[in-house]
Formats: sequence, C-alpha cells, structure tokens
Amino acid sequence: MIIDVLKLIKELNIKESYDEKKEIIDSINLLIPQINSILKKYFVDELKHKEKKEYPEDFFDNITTDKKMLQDFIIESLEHLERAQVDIVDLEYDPTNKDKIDSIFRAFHSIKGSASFLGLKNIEEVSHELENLFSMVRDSKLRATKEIIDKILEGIEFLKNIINVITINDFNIDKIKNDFKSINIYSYISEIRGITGHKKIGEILKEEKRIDDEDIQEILLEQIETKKKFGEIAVEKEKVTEEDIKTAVAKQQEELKKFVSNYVKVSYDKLNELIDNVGELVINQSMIKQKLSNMIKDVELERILNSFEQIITSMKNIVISMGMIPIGEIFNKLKVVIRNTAREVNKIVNIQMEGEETELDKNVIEKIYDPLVHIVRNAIDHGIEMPDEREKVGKPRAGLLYIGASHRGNNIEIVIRDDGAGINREKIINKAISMGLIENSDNLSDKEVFNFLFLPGFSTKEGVTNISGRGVGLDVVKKNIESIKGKVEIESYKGKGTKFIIKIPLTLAIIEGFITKVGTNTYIFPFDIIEEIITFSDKDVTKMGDGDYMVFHRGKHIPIVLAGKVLKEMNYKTDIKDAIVLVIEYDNIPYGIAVDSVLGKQETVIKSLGILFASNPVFSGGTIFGDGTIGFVIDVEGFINSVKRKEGLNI
Amino acid sequence: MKTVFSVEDSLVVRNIIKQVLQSEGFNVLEAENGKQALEIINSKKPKVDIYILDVNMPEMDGITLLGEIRKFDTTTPVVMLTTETDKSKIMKAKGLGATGWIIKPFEREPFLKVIRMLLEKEG
Repeated sequence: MIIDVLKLIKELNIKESYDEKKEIIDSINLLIPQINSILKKYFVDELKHKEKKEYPEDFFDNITTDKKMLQDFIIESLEHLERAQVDIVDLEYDPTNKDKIDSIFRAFHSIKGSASFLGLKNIEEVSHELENLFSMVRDSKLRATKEIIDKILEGIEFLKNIINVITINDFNIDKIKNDFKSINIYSYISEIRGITGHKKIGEILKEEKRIDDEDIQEILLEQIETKKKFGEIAVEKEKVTEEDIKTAVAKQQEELKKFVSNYVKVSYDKLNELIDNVGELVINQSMIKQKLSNMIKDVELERILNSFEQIITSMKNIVISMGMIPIGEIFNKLKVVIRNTAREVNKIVNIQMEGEETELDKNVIEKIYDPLVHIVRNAIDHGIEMPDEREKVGKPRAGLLYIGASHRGNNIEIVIRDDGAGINREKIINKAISMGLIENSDNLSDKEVFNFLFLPGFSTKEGVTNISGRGVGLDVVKKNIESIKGKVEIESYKGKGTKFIIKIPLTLAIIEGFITKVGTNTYIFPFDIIEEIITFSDKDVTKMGDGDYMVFHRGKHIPIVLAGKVLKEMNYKTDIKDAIVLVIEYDNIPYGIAVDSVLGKQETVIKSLGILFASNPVFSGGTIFGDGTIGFVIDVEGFINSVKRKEGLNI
Repeated sequence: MKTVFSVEDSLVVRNIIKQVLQSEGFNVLEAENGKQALEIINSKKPKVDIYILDVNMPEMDGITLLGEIRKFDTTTPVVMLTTETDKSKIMKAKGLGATGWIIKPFEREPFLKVIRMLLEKEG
C-alpha cells in the first residue's frame, strides 16, 4: 500500500497537467488522508529554492477569502497559461506572429491584473516579471532565443505550481499562506531580471545621485500627460544636465548589449549557400592534401596541410551547426499534444523526455514534427490502455510515453515508446491476407509484419476515432520521414508496448561516402549504410541464373547485386572475383553490391541533380569533384527497391 | 437606477467590478471584449450611463471600442481601466474621448468615487 502511494508520489514528479495532478491527489486523499500532508510537503519542497529571501511580514495578508473568486481565478489563469505554453512554442517557428505575441503577453498581463485584486502578491510579481520579459520580445528589444523561451516556459510551470497550491490546500487561506511562504519566488525573479536587467533611465540617474524619488514621481506624472521621454522632461525641469542623460543612456545601452548583440540575423538561403560552399571547400582541401602529399614528401608541408584540414573541418562543423536547432523545441510542443490527446480519450499519460538538446537541421525539424505528432497520438489512442484496463493487467493506471533523441554517428535517432498493449500481430496478418498481400504468415518476422502498417490504406482499426483516424495513415508518416532521407521502424511486444524508431541524417547537405567506380562513371555510396567491404574468391560464390550471384559470408547467404547492371553501365566488371563488394544491410537483410573499384572515403556535398534525374529513385543527388568530374550519390533504398522490382528478386 | 457597461476580459476583474457596483445599487451590463460589447450595443441598444473599458483585451481592445462608441455617442462618460504598464495608452484614449481612467488594481472606495464623480458631472 505504502509502496503504491510512494510510486504515485514519484509519478507526480513527472506529471504534467493540472487535471492529472489533481486526479492523483484526489485519489490519494481518498485512500489515506494522512498521506496528504506528506504529499503536500513533497510537492511544495520541490518548489523551494536554495536562495532564501524572506517575504515581507504582511506580504500575504490581503489574500481574498472569497472562494468563488479564487476558483474563477484558477480556471482563468490556468487556461491562459496552457494557451501561452502552446503559443510560445509556436513562436519559435513563427517569431513575428503578432496574434501569438499579443496573446502570450495578454496572458501574463491578465494574470497579473487578477492576482493583484485577490492579494496573490507572489503570483502578481512572477507574472509581472514574465510580462516585462515578454514585452521586450514583443518590442523586438530581445530575440526569442531558446534560452528566453525556456525561461518563459519555466515561468509558466512555476506559476502553475504556485496556483495549484490553492487547490491542494482546498482554499484554506491559512494553509495556502503557509505553503506560499515556503515557495521562494525571488530567485526566479532575479534570474529574469538578469535578462530584462536594463535599468530605467530614472533608476540610473537616481543611482548616480542626480535625482531623488520625488523628482522621479514628478517627471513620471508629466510623462503621462506629455508622452515625452523621461530624459527630455528631466532636462526641461532642470533636474539634470543633458550630459547626465547621455551618460545614463550609454550605461543603459551597455547593459542591454549583453543580451542583444550576441546575434545577427542571416537569411536561410545565404546560410544554405554558405554550407554548400564550405562543403566544396572540404572536398577541395582533401584533394589538395592527397595530391600534394603524393607529389612532395615534406614534413613542414604535411604539418601545414594537417592544420589546414583541421581548420576547415571545424569551419564545416560550425557552419552546419548554424542551421541547427535543438529538437527540444518540438518536444515542448509534443507535450501539449500529448496532454490534450490524453484528455480527449480520458487516459492518463506520463511523459518522459530525453535528449532535448540534440540539434537537427532546421529543414529536418520542420518536416519531422507532423510524423511525430501522428505517432504520439496513435500511441495514446491505440497503444496506451484505459486506466481501468491497465489496472486489471497489473500496470500502473497512468501510461508512460517516452520520447528521446540521441546522436548515432551522422544520424539522429528518435525513439517514441509507450507501455501500452502493443500491436496485435494476428490482426495485421489477417488484414494483410484479406488484402491479398500475403497468403499466410509463415516465415514472417515481427518486423516484416509491422512493416505492413506503413502501406497506404492499411489500417486495422475498425471504425475511425477522432484521434488517429483522419484518413492519414502511417504511410504518410513514412513518406514524410523518407523525404528527409530518414527511416522508421516499429518494434512491439504484446502487452508491453510499442516502440517507433526514427533515424534521420544530421544534415541533408553533406554526406560521408565511399567513392566507387562502376563502368565509366563515379558513384558515391553513403558511408553509414556500408557494413564492410570484401572481395571474394571462387569458393565462396554460387552463380545463379541471369548472371546473379549468391555468396556465403559470415554464416549467411548474401545476394549479390551487380551495380553496373542496376545503373545500366556499359563496361563494368561482370565477374564477381574481380569486383569489390560493399555489404549493406537493408530492412535487416544483407545485400552485397558489386562495384569495379573503391577510390576512397570522402565527404561529399550533395547537389540536386535537376529535373533530368529527379524522378530516378536510385539517386539522391550528385556531386562535383575537385577535378571537375561528376559523381552520382546513391539512394540505397531506391537502389534496392529497383533491384527487387527489375530482377524480381524474391527476398 | 444607473447602468454601468463593464467591458473586461478577465473574469476575476469583471466579477469584482460587478460585485462592487451591484452592492451600491448600480445595474451592471458585461462583455468580455470589445467585439462582444459592440454586438450587445448594436443588437440590444441598451441605455448606458457610464462605460468601463479595459484597455488590453483580445478580439477588440478598449481603445478601439472607445473609438467605435464615440462614433455614435459623444456624451456618455467612458472610464478606461489600465495597468501601470499600459499607462502610455491613456493619452491615446484621452484623444479619442475617454472621460477618465482607473489604474488596476483599484480599491473599492476610490473606484466608486471616480464612477460617482463622472456620473454627477454628466447629470
């Protein structure tokens, strides 16, 4: 019993929404009333800050005892905060959207106003700081950087937690006051002031002992009437000299600069051009290094070439990172989606997120959002069971949805995992059979079965729900992910849950690849997909009909694809003993691709091939080498699929 | 009985205004934003003795609403509700024909004093 309660308390820590928190608190209240005090303590302790600044004695004296008013306030403020949370995340993609900016500003403004009437001074002060901070964003004095947005989101959470104290204490003003006193708002406020920190001209003049409080009052009153600048009035009234104002303004600017001048705005087109150019530079550099070190053996030259290489590599990394934004920004948006979806279908979902700081190309981030939303909504609608159902099978009432991002070589891996019922394999097989895709399920791996879900028009759900059945299936998810050269896979265990794994390249602009010769042309195979490069002697090879081969390698039979045949080259090596075989794994099946020779490994800038090749799925792009020759970048999926189709390869 | 039309987006503030005014025998009309207020004015044509308009509201703010009201009614007093941060908007409101303003948060007595004063002035 106690363990269950502790578990619930622990869950509470990662809980997101007010409703869910309240639900848990309510149920615990019913179970053992004593736990309430522990729970409260835990909940409130979490908010305590190390830095202690005491509230003034009478700080909470004027809190209203009107329960109805407090209730109105809670409903209204939480509504404002929820909306602000969504809007602020949207703002990252649409930083000049005036409606959103106004709406967020109004949320803080309104909460501040209401709180001030009800004597909720702590809430008033925190929302006042947030309003100040956000007004700087609104007036373009501050750019809505990730840091700023994070600070605002943090503030929204903070406000929600403070507001929740009122409900937790069941509107008992004495208890509320007590808890309020233990929540320190000043360290958050001082953090915000560190950003908004520029002082008003009046404050600076007062610090310099040029004017006193009375003067400030007088000037402010006049300011309301005349709308003139503070400094102007101060000089007119002969409180200070013009020189004083100039010094004060300079001081103010100096403080503001700390936050503003760290950024320059660059158009995305220009950035792309730069990435392109740096990519070429990388290639040229590696050519020069190779050529020169072959021609001249000189230690000094080698040293220079190495440092040249280092500089260019670091330059390339910086340039690529310039177009990158952290995936955490869409994670925040997903949190809102998760919360709303769970509410729609009356399920309880805890969210766990990891790797928010992982950075991705801005183009990629924009395209990955919709598929993620789809997967997440699916997981809540179809994956996670209703609380009662979960309880019956011995799971906690709240489902867990994990979303994580991490680096894997030149790829980013995004994992979305739920602890729901898992995918029903039988159902998929039945559907596949009824659609005439297969005759029976013999020899089908789970992965192959789950892959059917990615086919257009394949949905096993009888009837459509409001959540996932909108005529958009997983086929669209797959298509979207593939459009950014990504891959998606499903793993699912009955009763335990489902996991989506999405792999996407860090950037679409530069790949590391093996330069190969096939016939008369140069082809580039992406480095990541190649498991190994091997040559074969007679004994390993079985010749099949149609000039195809099969090799036995590391305990597996690997079909060999002659690249020259697929690429329709003329004079390529048809005898596999002379060729070099790149072993790749695609859809968990190993293939060997036979090329004439491998020239080396190199970073390559991918360029669009233009309309001539646009419809050819075998190529993902082209590249120009330092010596002016052209290479084609192979799209492995397109390559393998075209083999399957043309050769009727039954794998 | 005098009628006050209070236009304010915050439910909390709206209720406070209503409570204070009703306890003093005023009749109170309410709207959540400028757009809603205009709709009520146009459809019901209520007889209003004084308007209280919040400056910062969604859909249509108080300043815009004031301009709209002044198109057909130049005499009814209009009090603007504002905060410290919005003080700069007072001048604009004055130019459009606002009769007075109250800065939030306000206390009961000074608030009533302003309302009574403006009503007497008109009467």
